[in-house]
Order: sequence, then structure tokens, then C-alpha cells
Amino acid sequence: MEKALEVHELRVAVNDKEVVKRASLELREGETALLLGPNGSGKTSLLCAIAGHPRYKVLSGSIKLFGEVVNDVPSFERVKRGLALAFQKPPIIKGLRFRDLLNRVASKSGCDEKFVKEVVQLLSIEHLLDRYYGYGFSGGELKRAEIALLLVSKPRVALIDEPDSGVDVDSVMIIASALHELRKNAGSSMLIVTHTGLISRHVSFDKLYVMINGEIVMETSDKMVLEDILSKGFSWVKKKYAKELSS
Amino acid sequence: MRKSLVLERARRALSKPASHGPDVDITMYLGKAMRGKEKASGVPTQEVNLGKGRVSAMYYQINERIEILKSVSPCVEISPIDNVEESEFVWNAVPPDLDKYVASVALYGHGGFFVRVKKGCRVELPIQTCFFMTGGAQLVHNVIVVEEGAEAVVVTGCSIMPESIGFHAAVTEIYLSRGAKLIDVMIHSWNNVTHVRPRTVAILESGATYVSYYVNMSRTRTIQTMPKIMLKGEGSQCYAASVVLGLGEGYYDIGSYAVLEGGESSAQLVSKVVARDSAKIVSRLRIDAHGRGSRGFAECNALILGEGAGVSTIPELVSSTSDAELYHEASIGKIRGDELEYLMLKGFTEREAIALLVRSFVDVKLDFLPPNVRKSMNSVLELLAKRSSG
Repeated sequence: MEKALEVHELRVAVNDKEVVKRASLELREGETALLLGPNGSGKTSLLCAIAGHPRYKVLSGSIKLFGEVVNDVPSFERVKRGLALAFQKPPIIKGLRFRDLLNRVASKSGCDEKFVKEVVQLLSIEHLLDRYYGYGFSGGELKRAEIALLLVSKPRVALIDEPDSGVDVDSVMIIASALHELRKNAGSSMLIVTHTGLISRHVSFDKLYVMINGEIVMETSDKMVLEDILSKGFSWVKKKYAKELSS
Repeated sequence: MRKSLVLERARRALSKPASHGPDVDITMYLGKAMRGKEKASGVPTQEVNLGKGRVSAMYYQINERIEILKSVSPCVEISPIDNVEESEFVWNAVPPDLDKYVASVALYGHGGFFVRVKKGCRVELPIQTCFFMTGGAQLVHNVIVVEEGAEAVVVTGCSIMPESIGFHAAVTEIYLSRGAKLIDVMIHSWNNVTHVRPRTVAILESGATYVSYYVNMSRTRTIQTMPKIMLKGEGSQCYAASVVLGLGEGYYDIGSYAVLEGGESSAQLVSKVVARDSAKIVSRLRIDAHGRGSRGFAECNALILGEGAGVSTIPELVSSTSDAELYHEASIGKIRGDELEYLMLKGFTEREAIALLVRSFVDVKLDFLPPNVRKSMNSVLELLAKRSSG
């Protein structure tokens, strides 16, 4: 399998503050990885940097998409090359109807109307289409809307930020089934950020990364580690990797 | 009003400045217009085919000359204003001495139309009118009368050749009888050396509805307009939305003014302005309430794109009754960074994202429009948004 995404020794700053201090990860085509970490550990910052967010400055290290370094490639160009990011908290955009945004994103990726309809149905978001994006959406609706935008952009590499936080179990299950579709039909690689691990009950994963204080401190394909983290907390990881962290 | 009185009052006002907006010396534009009306109006003799199912009537004027004047609907009568003798509908709503721009139309005007939509008729296809100029002065006078229970849509476009120096003044008088409804769409496209002074007054009888959309997305040297909607009748209502993109070094003083005289009358005035380059925009909305139980809402929002541009929003509410409810909302802001970044991360270029956000900002209620006109209006607003992003 070709390497879809490679992040090597990445350091990232926002407003001159270093938020990602050392991050390396790798995602092969069709692979799913979880990225776990406590609040404020830099997970969202890492995704933003990978997606090319203009406020997240790469200080050193590299981001490769299908073998090509994209550090200086603007975000829209990365999307063209198959990268897509589902936000944890998208902004509310008054005046922009969700239907309009969904159709425009779909048309950029060449999605047809039929596919968009299927996505809408799959995520149970028909009632949101004529509302302004995010306006009056519940937490679960907002997550489902973001996942819909992700699906219609037909990504080869999907970055998904906290799909399971602040939502009810039903919404998590709907989102999980959409992610199954994404993997099955589009063969997308997925990097899923979570701090509760709830999504892992419904989406199988190939490997797991743990990020603490801006560093990726653990990479494993041992799924039992997730159970350890969920039962013992991130302090267990901290203790386990205390040596590396202090060095 | 007697014609002689109109002319007399107009003469006295020929140097009277307008209450708002920069004063323009119009004498340099009036030379040709003052020489007489020999080329004016008249019914065009050339037969035109308006096509099936597109418009109910059409009026097309270039400079002073009427090129097309035709109705294909038995419900719509259209004639050159110059052929209309003294009438209760001519110079009744707009006083000929309002200011020097109106006075110049009364004294030297060439062309314009008189439209009558007959009682009880519901005219679904739009009445399309167009004023085009190649330079100089275009001074026109229009009257629209919608009789009792009738409904119509008027779509007007006004434009000038690029780089041609011009002055356009248009007086429009609108009379809506009991239960009548008019949807009035106006699209302006000028250039950076043109001065524009439209003057519109609409008078609504009981149960009448007036819906107005005004869009200007062009460089315009100066424009000042503030259509006045007189809601005289019980239960009369209006919705007036203006959307303006200020470009270049243009000066735009644009607003709406509703006077709620009828009991239970209501008005919603909306202004969405976007200023770019060094453009200056003044956005005025005023609602006066005198009728018992009248209600009004004025919404004045502005977006400034980049340094150099400037906006002033002036919402004003006046009431002479304790039984009225009036509200206003005003804001001036810029494109929000988080929204822009979000769209760029969704695959839009910066220009595309700005255009999309501007389109969102100018999202006025288009529900009143018939589907075909709504579609066209959507395209116009899309174009405006694209222009705003450079």
C-alpha cells in the first residue's frame, strides 16, 4: 500500500506559540488511525497544520501527501490532491445555506446529485439543508453536517476532528456508519482525533497514536492499549513514556 | 397638477440641492436636453417580437429615444409618458420642486413610461424596462399604476456605456390601489464618471403590497436615492431591500423611507452594503409611524472589504403614536477570519471564499419573487459577490 500521509518531526506554531512540538505519523492508503490525547495536547493543531490552515505555521519537519511534500501548498490545493478535514467546531455562517455549501463542495470534487442525496439520507440531515450553516444546529447535527461535507469531498485522506465529542450515542452510530461508507466505497485513509475513544466502539482502526503536550509519544497497533488508556487515563501513558517526554 | 404649475414650480427649484448626498453641478449635462424635446419619445414604429412567455410588456429607451414600447398582455397598458396629458397620477406623488434633479426631469425630461395594470389582473410575467445611455443626460419620468386587486412585477435595468460621462435622473411615481401588489426590481450598472439621482415615491392604499429590490454593483461616481413608500391605507405593507457593492472611488448614498400612515400598516426595510477600494457608502433607512398598530423593522448591515473604503449606516425610527412597534438593527463589520479560513480548508480559494461569504451576507429574502425572476436575482447576487472579491 502506498503511503497516503507522512508527517515527519513536525513542529507547528500559532501566534508564535509552539503548539506541536514533535509529531510523526504515517497513514497508508485505506488505513484508519486514531489520534488520542488529553484536551489541549495539540491534536486539533496537528490536523490544522496537515490541512494547511494559514494560521498554523510549520516551524520544521515535513508533511507529505502521496509522497510529495506539501508544507508550502495552500489548503485548497491540498483539498484538490485529496485531503479533507472535518472540523470539531465549524463556524456558524449566517446567510450561507447548508444546501448551498454542500452542493458547492460536492461540485468541486465532481460528486453527482445522486451521491449528495445518498449522503444526506445516510446522515439524516435533510431537515438542515435550508438552514444557514450551523445556525441552530444541535451538537450532533453539526457533526453530521461536517461529516456530510467530508463525504461529498470524496477525500483520499480524511482528517476527522472529534466526531464523538458532545454528541449522543445515536449520532455517533450514524457518523460511524458514514465513515464505514467512506472507507468502503472511497477507500479513504482516515485519521480520527478523539479524546473519549467512543468512536472506536463503532469504527475499527489499524493503529493508534497518542499525543501529549504537543508530542506524539506512542504509536501502536495493539488495540488493547486503547482499553488501558480508557480505563487508566492519559496519566498512565505519561508515566509509561515519562522518560521520552522528559528527554 | 396642471402642467404650467409643474413647470413653474420646477423652474424655481432648478438650483435647489437635495437633502442628502453630494451636490452635482448638472448644468454641464443639460445643454442638449435644454434644447428641446424634438427627439424625445414617440411610439416606435418598428415591430418587435417579445417572444412567448418571457415578458408581459417591454420598454427600452436609449438616451432620449424609445426603442421598444410594447405590451403583449391585455392586462397591461404601456405608453410614453410624454403622450400622457395632465393626469391625477402625474406629478402627484413626487413634487416637481423636490430638488434640482427632479426639477430638471420636469423641465427637460425625455422619455419614460406610463404603465397601467388593470383592475383585478394578476400579471405573472414581468414588465421589463430598460434605460441605457451612451453619455450626457438622461432625464426620465415613469408612472406605474396598479389598479384595485391587480398584481404585477416590474424589472428595470439601467446602464451606461463604459467611460461615458453621464447624468441620469429618474422620477418614478407608483400608485397601488386597494389590494394591489407590485414587485419592483431595479438593477443598476453605471460607470465611474456617472452621477445618478433616482427619485421614487410609492403610494399604497389599503391592503396594498409593495415589494422592492434594488441592486447596484457597479462603479458609480455618485448616486443618491431614498425611495419613499407612503403606506396610506389600512393594512398596507412593504418590503424593500437594497443591496449595494461600492467600488472604486464611488460615493453611494442609498436608502429607503417608509411612512406608516395606515392603521396596521407594516414595513420591513433591509439594506446590505459592501464597500471595497476607496468607495464610500451611506446607508439610510427611515421609518415614520403614525398609524395605530403599525409595525416597522429596519435592518442596515455593512461589510467593509479592505482599507480605504468607508460606510455609514443611519437607521432612523420616528413615531407619533404610542401604538406602533418599530425596531432597527445596524452593523458594520468585515469578513470574519474564521469563516474565511474554514471555507479555504474546504477547498475554496481565498477569492472564492470571499465571494461565497459576500453572497451569504447579501442573502436578502427573495421569496416574494416569481421563480424565474428569483433565479435571475440569484445570478445577479452571485455576480455581485464575485465582483466584490476582485
